[in-house]
Amino acid sequence: MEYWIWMMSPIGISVKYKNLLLNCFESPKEVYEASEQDYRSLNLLTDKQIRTLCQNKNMDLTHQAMAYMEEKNIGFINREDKAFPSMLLDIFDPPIGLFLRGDSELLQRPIKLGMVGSRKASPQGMASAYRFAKELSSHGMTIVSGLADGIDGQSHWGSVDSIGSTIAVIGTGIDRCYPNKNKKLFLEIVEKGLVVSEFFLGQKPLPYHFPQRNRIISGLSDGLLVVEARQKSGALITAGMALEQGKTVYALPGDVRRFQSEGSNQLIKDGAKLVTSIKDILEDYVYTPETKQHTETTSNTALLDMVDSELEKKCLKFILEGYQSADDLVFITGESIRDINTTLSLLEIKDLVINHNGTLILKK
Amino acid sequence: MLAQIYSCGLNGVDGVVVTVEIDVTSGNPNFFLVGLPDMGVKESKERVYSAINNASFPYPMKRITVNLAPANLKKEGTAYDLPIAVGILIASENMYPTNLEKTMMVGELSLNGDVKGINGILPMVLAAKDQGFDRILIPDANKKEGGVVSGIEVIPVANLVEVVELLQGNPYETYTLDPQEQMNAQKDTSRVDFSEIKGQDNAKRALEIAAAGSHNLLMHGPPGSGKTMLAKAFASILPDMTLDEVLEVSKIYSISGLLPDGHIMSGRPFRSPHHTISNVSLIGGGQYPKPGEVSLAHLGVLYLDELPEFQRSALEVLRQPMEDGSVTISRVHATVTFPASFSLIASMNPCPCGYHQDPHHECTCTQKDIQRYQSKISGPLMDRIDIRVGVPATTYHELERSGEGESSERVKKRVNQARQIQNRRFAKEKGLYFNSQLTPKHLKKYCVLGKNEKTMMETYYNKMKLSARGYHRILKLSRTIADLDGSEKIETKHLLEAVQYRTEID
Repeated sequence: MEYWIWMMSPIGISVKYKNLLLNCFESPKEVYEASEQDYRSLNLLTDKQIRTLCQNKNMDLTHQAMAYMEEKNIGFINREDKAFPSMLLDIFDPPIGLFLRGDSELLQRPIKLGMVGSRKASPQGMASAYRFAKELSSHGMTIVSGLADGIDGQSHWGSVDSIGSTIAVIGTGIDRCYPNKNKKLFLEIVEKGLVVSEFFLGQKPLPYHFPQRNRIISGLSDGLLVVEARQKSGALITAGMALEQGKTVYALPGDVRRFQSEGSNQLIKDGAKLVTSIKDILEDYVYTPETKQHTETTSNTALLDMVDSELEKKCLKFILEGYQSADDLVFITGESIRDINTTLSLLEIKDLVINHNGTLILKK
Repeated sequence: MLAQIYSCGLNGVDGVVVTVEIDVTSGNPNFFLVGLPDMGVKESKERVYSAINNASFPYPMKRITVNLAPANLKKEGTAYDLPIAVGILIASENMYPTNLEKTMMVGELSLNGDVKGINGILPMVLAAKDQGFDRILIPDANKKEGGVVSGIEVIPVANLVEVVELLQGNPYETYTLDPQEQMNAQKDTSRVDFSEIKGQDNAKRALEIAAAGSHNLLMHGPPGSGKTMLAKAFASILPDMTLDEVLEVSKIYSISGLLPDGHIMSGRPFRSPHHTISNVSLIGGGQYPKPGEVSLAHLGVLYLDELPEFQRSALEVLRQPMEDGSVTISRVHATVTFPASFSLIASMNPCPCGYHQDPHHECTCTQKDIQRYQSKISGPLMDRIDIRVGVPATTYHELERSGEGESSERVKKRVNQARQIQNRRFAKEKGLYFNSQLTPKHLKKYCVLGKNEKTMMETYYNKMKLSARGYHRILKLSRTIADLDGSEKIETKHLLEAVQYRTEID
């Protein structure tokens, strides 16, 4: 195992060349023990790569890392392990191994859905991501995402707040949390779900790590749901990878005027499956009669039945129609701001609406 | 011969009686000035010489010694020109004054003998009155400011000749101004009235609550949504100032030389310093400490637009005045305390470019920018802000809405009532005037919740993942809302309204 970990450490060559080397040498141990001559005879690596590779031939860092992993309860699987998800072997440049924190069982779960989207999503998009993740999680799906801000974070939260079957694939060493804002989420996932990284301990969040990480998100998943993406975004790159890997791509439609949804609407135009409720996703994998019932309860009329007072109903109706601030509601209902605010709080308590920095978002 | 004249210096916002002693003796013509004068005071030698000559009085060609007592207080400014000139004339036996020991005089001299205006007249006149002087001579330019003090003869003077004549017993005119009349006459019509603001009911209600309980408030919303206008209107719903308050505020403006047209302040101050402001100009300072923006906003509004753009250190220094209602500044030359009890109204955009989460504009900020921007006001400063309200861009329909909104006058009435309730409630608590000052200990006493209210808050607390501090803030706010309602008990509806203004958002 230590040679596998050594292979993972920064030895001056990229994953692509590591893969090529492994093809030539059978096992990491042989890669380690091969001489400079051997490398040269392969005609694969440049002189500079060979030089750095040879310089890095000692196990100090590896042993340090292993001690650290022992102490912090960090797991590791290499690609020859039985536990290694076979789907990941099919992708282009599969990872040599994965560092794991949390419940490694999740890798074996049958249905995994990747959820990606903009880091700077709209409040509505974030709420949708949260809701979808929460409901899909409760239906037994495992949510795979990237622990970034915005959609990623909300997808994880949704799942964590349900049963916690979520896998976070991160773009740094597994001992770090990026962005720092998600520290709490990170710990929650370590507790309930699984954090996965192919980057060696201590690796910084370098820009090229993230596209590399995206291939694992799509690789691990059976399908990929794009919640909100703008043109030219990381989420669209991930969607492209998913298509290359032969996965189904789902997309949540958005307001045509909202630029945060341009990318996901484009995907739908290009043939991604349009999703309006979790049923649209579930039906591709399992037949669950309860699902149908579930979607019914969250339909708009059913929502209106969940509130008691006239004003609550009125407010909720207008929020459903797209009015977004307390001022809008005052204007349209003609009620005083005091009553509107009181009503909004009631709706918040009933978990139907959330006031996010003054913007009212439907939570259903 | 020796002459003794009374004049006045400043220490903080208060006047201090300074005795100017002048001794003219035979000897080589020379001029000595002692008693810790600064450059401005030292230069008076030249002004006094020319002014006496040009007013056609003889300047004694003798040895002149001037002492400013108390000698341990640092003297600054130009207020001592007039007393020194008068003192020289007396000591050289060129004039014979009457009632000198009950007369105070201040003023700067120009080379032709005219008396020019100085800063800090109001505190000086008040000090003269408190010290039992009969009359005070002030520059003509400052008469509107000095004239509001009753109980002392305020005599505006225009030049040295006039001063010499009236001191020798010639008849003179005093000047008085009824401050109440002046306050009414100057009723600020330029202020923004609540009824002028279309829409924004939520923000207006938040301002009303802030005014009633003296809570600090943070508005956030995209550029151009009317945050500045709302803040300006805030001053118009604060209770009218009492005469004492007017004098207190005017004193600060007087020593800073900022009184509008030389009048006393009639409305509550509204200060909106730019975000590039330095710590010193925000809090006060300088070699001879001068009041900063926090003191200029005393009993009024300090509006910090673009709060996160302020230097972090500048925001940190705000903490002491927000806590104590005053600032203490220590410098080499003096340690002074200026009053600084203000309502903080702050505003911020959601991100540096202003369009974060805006559906129609693309935000150009990086995630890091946004986080840095938003985290700038975290921590202790945010703890002192009770209300956070979103100010969305106004829609066209709201702009075109017919009918006037509620006027400031009506809102002010409710605010006044709520303040009276608070005054009655806190009558026995020393140093406690407003709901915003309630500590957790007070909350137990004054914000008791019934059983229903408690269950409701518990649900909300868990649902919204509130912190203990956030919970306390909501209690304080609901106390104020109940006061506005004239209700003894905090009811569910008050709590429900208060939670919409919570400061913790994700």
